[in-house]
Amino acid sequence: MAERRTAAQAMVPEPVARLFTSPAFAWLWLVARVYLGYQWLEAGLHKVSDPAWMSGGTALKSFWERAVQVPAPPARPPITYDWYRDFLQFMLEREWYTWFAKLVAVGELAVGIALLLGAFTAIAAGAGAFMNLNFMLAGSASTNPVLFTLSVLVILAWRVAGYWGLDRALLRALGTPWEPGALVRRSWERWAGGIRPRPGQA
Amino acid sequence: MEGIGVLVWLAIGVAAGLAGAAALALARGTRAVTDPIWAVAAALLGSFAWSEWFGDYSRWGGQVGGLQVAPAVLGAAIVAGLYVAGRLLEEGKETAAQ
Repeated sequence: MAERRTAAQAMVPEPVARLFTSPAFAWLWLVARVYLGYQWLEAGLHKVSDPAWMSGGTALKSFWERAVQVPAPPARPPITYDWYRDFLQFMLEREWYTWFAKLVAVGELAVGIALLLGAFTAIAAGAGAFMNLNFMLAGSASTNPVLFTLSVLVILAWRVAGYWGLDRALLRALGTPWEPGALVRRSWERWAGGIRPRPGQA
Repeated sequence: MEGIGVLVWLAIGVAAGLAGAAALALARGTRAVTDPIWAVAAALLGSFAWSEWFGDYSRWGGQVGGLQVAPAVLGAAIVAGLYVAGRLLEEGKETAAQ
């Protein structure tokens, strides 16, 4: 573990590494995180209170229909990549917008709440960035490039992005897949202790 | 935010940042205020964020040149305070590790 830390630190200059890992700079990520969370929460709240998103998914249907159109040259289609157009067409033909619209609305709301609370910040920022990426691939620029860039920066600062939030406790308790936290370690030890053969047993 | 609003924002940010840097020096038990740049940057960003991004939901204290004054002061104080707290926590950890 110590070797991995040294190698990672050696890849970036010390001041940059500090910016992304030090609690002294957690305020910067708090502001970025709250801005992102606020944007997602507003977008999500608007969608969950709109029947066009929550019953029938007609809003998403029209968005997909506009996105997959290929106009006559010299006009250019909204989607650059054929594989992404085929993907949206595939979902349109199967009427997946009926449930996918709810997933988008609730997903945006959940990402917004998690970012505002600083709970599972990097995962929430990753989910947000994934949505931004899909909106951009579908030809919608809007605020997506800025939100995507901020999300990537928040993901890079995962150690301290939620320091002034719930992650300060959650990260300590749950840890990461490569370095389990106190709660996970204790649960694992209890479980492993339970299946360990008792002295005298085969 | 424009004209006088920008000037007020800068004044609030610099004042809150320098106050934060002074508080940091006081908490360290020294009189010397070293490296106030980050404290000022934190205060400026906090002030800007609350006034510009979230000002729609906190229109108290009136506005000057498009700057929501009370949210700007609160944002500067909170974020500069978090900078000071973060620095002290970090230094505490380093001391404990030694």
